[in-house]
Amino acid sequence: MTRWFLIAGVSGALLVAVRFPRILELLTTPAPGTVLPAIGALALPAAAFAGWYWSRRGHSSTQDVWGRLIASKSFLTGAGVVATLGLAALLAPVLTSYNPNAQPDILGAATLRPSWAHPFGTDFFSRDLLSRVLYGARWSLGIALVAVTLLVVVGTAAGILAGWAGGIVDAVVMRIVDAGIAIPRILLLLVIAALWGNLNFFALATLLGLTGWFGLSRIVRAEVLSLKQRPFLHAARALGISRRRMVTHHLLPNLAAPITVTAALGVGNIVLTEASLSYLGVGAPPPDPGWGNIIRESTSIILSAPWVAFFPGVAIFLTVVGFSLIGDSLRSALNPQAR
Amino acid sequence: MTALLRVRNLSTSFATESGLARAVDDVSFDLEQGETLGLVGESGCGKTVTALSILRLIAEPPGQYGEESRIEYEGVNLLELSARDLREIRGAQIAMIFQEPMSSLNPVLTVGSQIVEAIRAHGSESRREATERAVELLTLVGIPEPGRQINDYPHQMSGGMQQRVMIAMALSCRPKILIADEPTTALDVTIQAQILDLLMDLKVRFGMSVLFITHDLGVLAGIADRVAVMYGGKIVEEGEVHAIFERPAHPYTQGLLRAVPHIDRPTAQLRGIPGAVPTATEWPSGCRFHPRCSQRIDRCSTETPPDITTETEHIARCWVATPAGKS
Amino acid sequence: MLGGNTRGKVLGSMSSPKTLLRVESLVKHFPVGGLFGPGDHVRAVDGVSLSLLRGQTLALVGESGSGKTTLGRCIVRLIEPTSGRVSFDGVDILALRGTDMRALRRRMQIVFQDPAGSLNPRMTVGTAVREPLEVHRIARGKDAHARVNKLFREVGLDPSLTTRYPHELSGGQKQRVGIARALSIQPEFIVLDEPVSALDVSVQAQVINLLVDLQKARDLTYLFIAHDLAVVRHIADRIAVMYLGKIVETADVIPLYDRPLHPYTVSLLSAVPVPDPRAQRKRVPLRGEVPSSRHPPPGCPFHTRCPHTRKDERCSTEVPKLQEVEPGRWAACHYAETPMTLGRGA
Repeated sequence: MTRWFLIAGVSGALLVAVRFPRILELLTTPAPGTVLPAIGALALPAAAFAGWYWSRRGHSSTQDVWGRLIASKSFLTGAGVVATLGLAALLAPVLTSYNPNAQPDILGAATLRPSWAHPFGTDFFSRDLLSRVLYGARWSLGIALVAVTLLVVVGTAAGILAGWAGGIVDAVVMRIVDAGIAIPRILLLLVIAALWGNLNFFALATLLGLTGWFGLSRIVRAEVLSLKQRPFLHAARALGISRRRMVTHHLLPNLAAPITVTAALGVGNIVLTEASLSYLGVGAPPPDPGWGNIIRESTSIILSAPWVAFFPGVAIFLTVVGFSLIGDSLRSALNPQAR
Repeated sequence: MTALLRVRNLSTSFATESGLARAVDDVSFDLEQGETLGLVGESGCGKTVTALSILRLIAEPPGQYGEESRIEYEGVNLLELSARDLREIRGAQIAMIFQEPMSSLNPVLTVGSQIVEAIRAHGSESRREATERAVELLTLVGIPEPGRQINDYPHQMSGGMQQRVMIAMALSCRPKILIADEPTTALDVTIQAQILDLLMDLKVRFGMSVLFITHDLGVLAGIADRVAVMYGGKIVEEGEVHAIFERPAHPYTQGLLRAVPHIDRPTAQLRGIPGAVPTATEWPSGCRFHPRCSQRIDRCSTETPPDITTETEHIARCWVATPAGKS
Repeated sequence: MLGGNTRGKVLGSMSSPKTLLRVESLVKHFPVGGLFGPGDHVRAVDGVSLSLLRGQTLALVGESGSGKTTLGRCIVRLIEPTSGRVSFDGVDILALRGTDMRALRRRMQIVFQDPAGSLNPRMTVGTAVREPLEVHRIARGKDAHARVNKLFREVGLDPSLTTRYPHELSGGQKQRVGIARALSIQPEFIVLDEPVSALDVSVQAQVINLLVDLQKARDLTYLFIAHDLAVVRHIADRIAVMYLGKIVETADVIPLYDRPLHPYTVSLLSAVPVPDPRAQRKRVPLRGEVPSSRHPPPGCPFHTRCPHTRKDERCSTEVPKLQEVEPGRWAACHYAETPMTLGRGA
């Protein structure tokens, strides 16, 4: 085991170092705050291998959720894709030496084809596309994570409230949800954006989250209504278990599957929505990159320089596929009866 | 005299995630003209799969019939019939009723239109003739005001009435065999008594043979001519109803009879059978009952028991059963 | 266990010191119809009174729609009754709130019909039995673990099963877990809501025997709700027969089975299948079906199906009162003094 670990770690570090010479540069001429990310990047393959190995240890059986997850090929693929994208976003300063907004030579270096120096090529303003896609991931994935966290919390709370309380509370919450579903989301967001002016990161994430929970709350409410009829909740009540504990220990574990699946699929959905919004002019404030506005800026040169649209497109595609795979495998892993 | 229905070496298995489930394993029995054969057993013993196999209602895959399996109806092996020829048999010659009348009826169609459809599926009646016949059938099965109730939807009827409708549909083509799969299990006792009386009355009037599947020995005692007891996908004991109830030879049948609460014998201590019914993916070796059997001997766990013909001329598949003339 | 005669009567005006549970004129109406529909009600339980002595088993029998399950749930307050009184060991439990009610929950428990549905599918069965111990601060940590193992052994389960999920257990094992969970907080009184109806015959007998043994060992009082009169005869001391939300007859087991006074009890008993081909009873046929509890018939609720030969005008107009026909035997029939006979075939 140790031998395999060393081989994987060293060869991985070498590969990273060769492909991203900037890491070595950062290590030899240290600037504040760059050493640790650089060492992290070098240690990444070793850490990934260790993580993979550790997660398999003691989980050879499919007895628990984690065991079933890591036995599932679709989860490993999805998690690999998502982890790669996430780490790439975090380690962007290490992985590329270009400033994503720098326009080194707007005449000579514009729309260069992908090459060793510019693996993804450059855009119309001569900016390095790899850097823009990497930094763009910070914006796009960041928005998605914040928005999904928000929509999961609000959607779950609203669904449980409506299903558990019933009566008037249920009617009111569900009418709000109906209204939310009835209004076209993009239109609503555009109107808000127009009234608000320029939206910053948190404002946009909050807006996306607050307009995205309606579907989840319906799913959760339906699930709560059917769970409420199940004798095990009657049994819990007869045992004198408090309402709060019934929700946290009996209701939530049974809601975990629909919630996590919706969340995982929701990430892909938010990335796409944010991209369409960017396309309509609401998104990362120029010149900062987001996947959506990179594609928007590529429209005028899509035939002459298709790679400018292609790479962020692939990134969005991979995000959606990665999270869908995770969502799917979670769905089956969270069901204790699936063995 | 040859039997109306001959089931020979029927094996039905299912491919499942935890391996091959041999739900029915080498089951043979005859159903004679005009008799009621009761197939009794606990959940998971294979009695329902046996019933479904007769009409080839098992989806293939995941289901699969054994190569040796034969289901002969009037000399024709149903397992070799084309889908089209099989449809001529289903409903018209062999009809079936199920445990849950509510889920066997289409909730968005009136009961009348469902009976009319069943009649017209096999006959050449006009819609009008079929409707008249449907009213006749509903009268026959004891539905009050059939002319009005023909326009009712299933949910407007009680469980007992729904089961009567199912029986009317099953009888619409005057089948020679009626397979009844736990038809009264979902009903209250007083309604169960009504339905059992109705079934036995119709059996005589139509000259049908009935294959009656149940877990309830009490129900069986009241209606069956012959009984086949199933356990672990096999028939473990088979014979005339009095022989089975009074001189059970297989330890499982004996155990079952001791476990049934008896309304007339309250003082007898109930005795359960230890352990639980095994699952079809992991049948025990040898005799499948041996892990729960109080009379087991060494060979029970390794060798499949032979057919023993007992003194009361019924068959028990057990190593410790006493053959005729040896007691 | 069957010598119920000496245990006294279920219905009496005097409260005996041994009375554990007393239900008086309990009513539960469920509203039906939508928000804009007429204010209609299902009278699930329609004025039921009964009492239960400590250590006794009272069986509540009836067909579906008779209100027996609703009554059982009202008694343990899983459902709030519309009106009436339930007193448990002298305490009016319908008046209890919050912590007082939760304290009382420790003394009364319920076991459900559906052993699979009454266990949380995402919780191991060991946790399910342990949870009430921790919630009620009876035990925690190692002590709780030891108690759970002991409970498992007491209900005939191997303690190694504690780490399993409900779907990994057989129906009989799940019902034993349900019983262990109910016993965990050491109740005095348990409502058994059709506890063996979903089980196979060979397993049903095991569970009935277990319930009888536990009752003896722990001095438990049972309210046993069932539709199977053959099962009831093996466990109950006293029986109350329900029809359309009302008790129509109540008596000790032996007299009730030997000579039922109410024509409904007669029909019900005659309909029970007997597992003996030579002892088939002559059925007393019941016509028709149970009427809707939204619109129960006027007069005696049973008169529309009653096979009694003396049925007359009075039955369809005047509601018969549940009255003591013989010592310890109560029936709600105008002609209870001239009961029908229970036919028996050869």
